[in-house]
Amino acid sequence: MRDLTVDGLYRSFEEQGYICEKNLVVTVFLALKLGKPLLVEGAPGVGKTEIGKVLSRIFNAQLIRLQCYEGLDENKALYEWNYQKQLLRIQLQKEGIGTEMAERDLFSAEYLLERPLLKAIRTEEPVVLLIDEVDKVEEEFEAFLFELLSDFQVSIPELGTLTARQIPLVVLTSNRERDISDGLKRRCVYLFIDYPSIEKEVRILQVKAPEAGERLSREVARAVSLIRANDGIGKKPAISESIDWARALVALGAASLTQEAVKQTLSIVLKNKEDIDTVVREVGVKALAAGAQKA
Amino acid sequence: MIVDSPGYTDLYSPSTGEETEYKILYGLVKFINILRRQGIRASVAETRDALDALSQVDILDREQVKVALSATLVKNFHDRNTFNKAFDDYFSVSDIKMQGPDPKGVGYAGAGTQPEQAGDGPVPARKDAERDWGKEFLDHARQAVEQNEKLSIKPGWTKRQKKQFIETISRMRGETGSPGTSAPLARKSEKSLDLWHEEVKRQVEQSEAVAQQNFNSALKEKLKDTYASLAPGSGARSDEESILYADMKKISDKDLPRVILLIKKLSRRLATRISRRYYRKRRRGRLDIRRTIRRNISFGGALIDLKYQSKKEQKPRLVLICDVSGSMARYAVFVIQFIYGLSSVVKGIESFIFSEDLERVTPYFKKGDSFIKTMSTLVEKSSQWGLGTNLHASLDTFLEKHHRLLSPSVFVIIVSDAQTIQAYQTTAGLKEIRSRVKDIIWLNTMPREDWLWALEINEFQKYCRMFECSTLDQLSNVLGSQVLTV
Repeated sequence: MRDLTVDGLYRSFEEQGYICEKNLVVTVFLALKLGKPLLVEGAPGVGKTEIGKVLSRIFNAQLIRLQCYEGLDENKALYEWNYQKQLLRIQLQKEGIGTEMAERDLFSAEYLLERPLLKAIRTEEPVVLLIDEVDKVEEEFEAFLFELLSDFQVSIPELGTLTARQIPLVVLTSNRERDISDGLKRRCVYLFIDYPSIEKEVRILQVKAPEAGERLSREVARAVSLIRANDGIGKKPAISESIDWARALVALGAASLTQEAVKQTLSIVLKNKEDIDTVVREVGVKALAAGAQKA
Repeated sequence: MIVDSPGYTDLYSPSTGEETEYKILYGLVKFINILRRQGIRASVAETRDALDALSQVDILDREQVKVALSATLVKNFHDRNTFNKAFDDYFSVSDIKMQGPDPKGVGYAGAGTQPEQAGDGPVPARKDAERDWGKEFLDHARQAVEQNEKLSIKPGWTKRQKKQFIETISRMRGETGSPGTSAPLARKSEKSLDLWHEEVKRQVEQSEAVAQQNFNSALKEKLKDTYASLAPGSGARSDEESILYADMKKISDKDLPRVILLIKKLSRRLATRISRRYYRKRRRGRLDIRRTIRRNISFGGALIDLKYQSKKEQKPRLVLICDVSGSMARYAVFVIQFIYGLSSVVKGIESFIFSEDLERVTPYFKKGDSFIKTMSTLVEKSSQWGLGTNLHASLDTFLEKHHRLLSPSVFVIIVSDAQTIQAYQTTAGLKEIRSRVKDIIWLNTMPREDWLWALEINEFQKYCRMFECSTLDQLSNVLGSQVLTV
């Protein structure tokens, strides 16, 4: 980490197939250098989660992912006692099977189920901890998270305080379904990822769907950009949908984004009827094809 | 006052070796003050992070400096535009100053000695300056490194002070620090983020008090411009923000699609927050001994699976009474839409519109049409849309025909600017309703400062809680904090 440079990190991102602007890399670089969690916000499908994955590949670190959802609590995120195993041990003890054991033995590491957060700080190897969609958890859990991310230690009443064996690289992502608390934000370096420019999307398509070729990639990128520019769309197409669109067009043998091709494949890029109707009505299939092919 | 804020000078009073650190902080703190004035919450911890971040990037690269400050100081999507504008404006002070006649010499034009030049700098120079940020900074950085010590040591200092200063500078350069620690900050400090740090230094040499005062005046002028340029409506806000904070009445038709999307997003966000709260509360409660024992018989009586008693959450029920008289119709459209966006977290919504009399409109919203279609049907068929206002008659009608809707779990939401005939008779109806419901929330589109002059508002407030509500932001906040807090 000491020899890490912005340019070096940028090259690594490119090598891993993550196409982005240098500014994004500068922010990631800062998070790494300052030893702070990286909070990535942006619309779904702009490449937030991928940053965690790419970092794990770049640093050859284990990726530990905590997928957040409503109702996630410490038991599922941090640790839990293996009650079944403990009960079994007690029963065996009653039956006179097995060795003598004290109560403290029941609450030893053997009966501890490590969940992602505890695993991330107790692993000896380098770790990238990806806390995905953190906006889905309750505020109390957020408060717990930012305590953990400040000290990288956890108190387990029966075991005492467990400190981190190494400080993991932490990436938190949020779709901005709701605002993250100030406390958590304060502890993070912040990165917002917007939809890519046409040029950037062309580059992404060339990497992720090389079979589409430059011309078709450019046409898809232009068309997707036109669709995203429409404010009436409820769910704007993500990058992954652009890639799927390009691949679908290739699968249909379309060399270019013609009106016919648009009609046949619009449902690949727009996933609900209302949005398709809006685009057809307000942008128009003809305009979409023509706009895409504009020099 | 930013520049001369009380205690500021004392707090960062330049002395001995702390001077260089002080100058870095001085510039950064001023910039952060600008951000705070614009509503960006930047704490002391974040200021420290920003300093650390600056020490990690190439400070001669303007873009990297911008990203470093942005990543550490701006943690909110909506604040990004404000930050960008503030950064471009604030850091252009230095750039313009650099266009003096002798940029490499010691005596380039400074705002302190010639404050007018800060404003007189050739306009095209700003773009050039931005382009040449690196080069100019490099030149300056070299000067700064060469001159730093001798410029900073004042003639009157004692040997001890000089020694202390030199030691600090050395330490900051990383010469005596532990490897890989704070050295970068010191080096960058010498290269200096802000050119006016150096100007302060020169001025201190010449005439401390006068020069500082002049410099501050020039800076204040510049800050004033910066604040003005960041004011609402100045273009610093994003499209979404401009709608969020705009008076709903002034939102134009062309913005409607965006408004509808924004309302959906806001109400969804609010609804998500609330549904999450219900979920969380369901997890609490007292231990249900009976169910726990029954459940754990199969485990030989060991209490493995605990069962809890919890009070069933009561979702609020809303009765919406919207003023659709001439002055209020526009607001009503947005408020009704917002309220219906919350339908997942409220038990039921009953909607009424009124102007000269009351009209129930709930059935229009049960047909499953799109909101735009529903509203256009409603406006077309309504006998009340756009007439004068008589809340007294309307509440009487409500109490006469719809009193069964009132119960202790009901919130009545009145949306009106309170400009009604028979105002004083209205209070009786309000009082009657208040006694039968959980609360009456009045969303008043009239600016709060005008309430003083509308005496009837004082009377209404005896029976309801009244909130100023002319923007979507206010609407979202009031509903989130006053109604959906069960």
